[in-house]
Amino acid sequence: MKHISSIFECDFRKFEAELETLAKIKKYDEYTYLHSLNVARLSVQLGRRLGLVGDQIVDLGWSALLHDIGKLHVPLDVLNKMKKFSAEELAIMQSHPVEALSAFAENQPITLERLRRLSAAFEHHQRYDLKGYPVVHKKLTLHPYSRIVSIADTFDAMTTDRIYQRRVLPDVALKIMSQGFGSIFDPIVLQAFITCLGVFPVGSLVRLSDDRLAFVAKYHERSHLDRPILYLFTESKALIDLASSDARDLKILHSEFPEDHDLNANEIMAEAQIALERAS
Amino acid sequence: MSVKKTFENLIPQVDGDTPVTLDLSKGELRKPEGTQPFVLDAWPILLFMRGVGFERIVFQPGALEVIELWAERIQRYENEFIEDPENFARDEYHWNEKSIDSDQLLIECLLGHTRSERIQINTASSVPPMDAPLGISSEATQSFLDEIRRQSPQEIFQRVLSILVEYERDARLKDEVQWAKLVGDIIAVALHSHLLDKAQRIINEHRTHLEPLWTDADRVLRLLSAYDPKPSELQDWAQIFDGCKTETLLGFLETHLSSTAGPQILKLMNYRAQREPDHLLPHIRSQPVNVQKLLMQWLAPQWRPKHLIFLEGALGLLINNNSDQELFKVWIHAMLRASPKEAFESLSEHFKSPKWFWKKKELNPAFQHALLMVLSEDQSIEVLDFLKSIRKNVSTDLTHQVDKIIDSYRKGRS
Repeated sequence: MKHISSIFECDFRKFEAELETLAKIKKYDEYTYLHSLNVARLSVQLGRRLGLVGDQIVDLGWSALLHDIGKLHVPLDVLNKMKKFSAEELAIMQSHPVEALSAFAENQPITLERLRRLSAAFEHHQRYDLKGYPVVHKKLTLHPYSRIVSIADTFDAMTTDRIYQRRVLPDVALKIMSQGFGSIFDPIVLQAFITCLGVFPVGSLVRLSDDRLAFVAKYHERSHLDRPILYLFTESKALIDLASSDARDLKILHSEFPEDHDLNANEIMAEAQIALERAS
Repeated sequence: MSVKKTFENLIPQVDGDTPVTLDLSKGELRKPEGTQPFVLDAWPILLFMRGVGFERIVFQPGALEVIELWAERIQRYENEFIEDPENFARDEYHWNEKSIDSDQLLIECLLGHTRSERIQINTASSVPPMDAPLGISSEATQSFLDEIRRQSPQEIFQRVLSILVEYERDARLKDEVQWAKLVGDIIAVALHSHLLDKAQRIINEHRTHLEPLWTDADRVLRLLSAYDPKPSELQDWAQIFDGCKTETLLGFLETHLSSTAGPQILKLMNYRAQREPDHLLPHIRSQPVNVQKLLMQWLAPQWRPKHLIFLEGALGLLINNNSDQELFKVWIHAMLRASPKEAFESLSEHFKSPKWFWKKKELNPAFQHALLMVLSEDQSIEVLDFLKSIRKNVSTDLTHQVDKIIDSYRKGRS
């Protein structure tokens, strides 16, 4: 519950069935559970920026937390397979959106509110143009929450390490996702997602035009999307606001993996946070 | 962006006699004569390749002949990756490209060397904040919010109906029992939401596989308690329960009349009594007395001459095993409604001693009394004739009752 409380507030007494389902996910597959938390965090953040409030945030949050519950019915050897799926395995894996409803209904009765929150579980792989899966009998517009969750889901999946494959750097992930404007993703929601995160999301390690490395520390409402506040973590341990006139000649070239430089990103970002608080 | 467009700038670079290397991580194009920067963002599929871990791509002389074929394949991979990055197994895909005419590798894609393949499972705290400008118009935002507010129960059910269709299509997925219960739950939600038409549609589309639902008493009761139909809706609502056996409902009459499903149980049974009275006949006698009375009350308008034999037989068994006068009355009423003339003939036997001593029949005084009570409510010529015909056969206790009824009739006539 404390994980969820850090994402959004709700009266957990009304969501006992959902909590129970989430606990099952955690027990069944740790990656799916952590992924669901991340997707919820991203979805709720975006939802708030779009103006969702109160119960809308709660509904969106639970939609995101439960979007992969259908995976409870996918065998673990398929779920964690490192190689390309066979046709049969792919069919099993792609059945998880359809399985979502029965997975949730196994131990508790369905209500209208729960059906609303399960829309994302069914729709998050359907694509904005409905050419994804599962193929639906009758075409309709995806639920707004599904459109948010599918973007958050894709971004988190791309930017998470797997045992057999390294993650994609966040800025690269956003650029790759932008190829799906209007086809895979809702263009308005994707645009908001990409710009809210900034070209180089906070926490990215970037190479500057003067060859120094820095971490992206912060964007503010008036930032240009490629001119954030950076934290120089080497000797100076200083902040640089690329939007300021002092830094107008400085550019970000590209991002890099912190671990390739033996850098502990979490520790350095904690330093950056302290520096930001001192500066404000 | 089309594949051809993507490579318009690249093709002249690789169209030569020497290999060309694209360094994806540094954004450099390297040829023997020198290195020049290139903007990776201008080439989406190269960006994608960098994203999934490739560091360099080497184009050998002659790569031009296969570059479009290669690029189209990479673009397909990119689409697959965007659609489902979680299940994209990079190492299982075919990245290099050989010559059409030989085994010579013309395009070679090289992975980067990571310092270590440490797994860094992202925790919730590693999700980046979204503090940068929103980047969309206020109109677009408002439109999105309005769409959320407009989401109605009907639209939710439309989505659910799609799920059910897909679920039913994939027989491999389906646990028949679980699926039937799931459908039952969804129907209950539709009824709770006053979406009778949606509930009907779900039943009609999935009726043939719902048998396990009707053996789940809790779910049936939930369905019954979900919606109280108006008179005009009764037929449509009752058809939802066509798969529910009468025995089940009869059991509920005994056990759940005081529950929230009670009123609906009564409505449904009454509906069935009016629509299919003959289906109830085999069940009546086995029911407890209170349920019997209820059923007979509902069936009252339905009795026809064809039912007389059944009623006689049932009454005969009842008389031998019972002394409940109120119960006798409902059966007597039924016989008289079914076929009055034949009923009187049959009923008169209950006041005659047997002709032959070996056909000794017990005359049931309680039944006789009940019959006379019924007849006293109906002052018709037929009743008067009946009473006169049995007067000589009744026992002393009942003579007074018979006379009283006859007198009352005469007074009424005068």
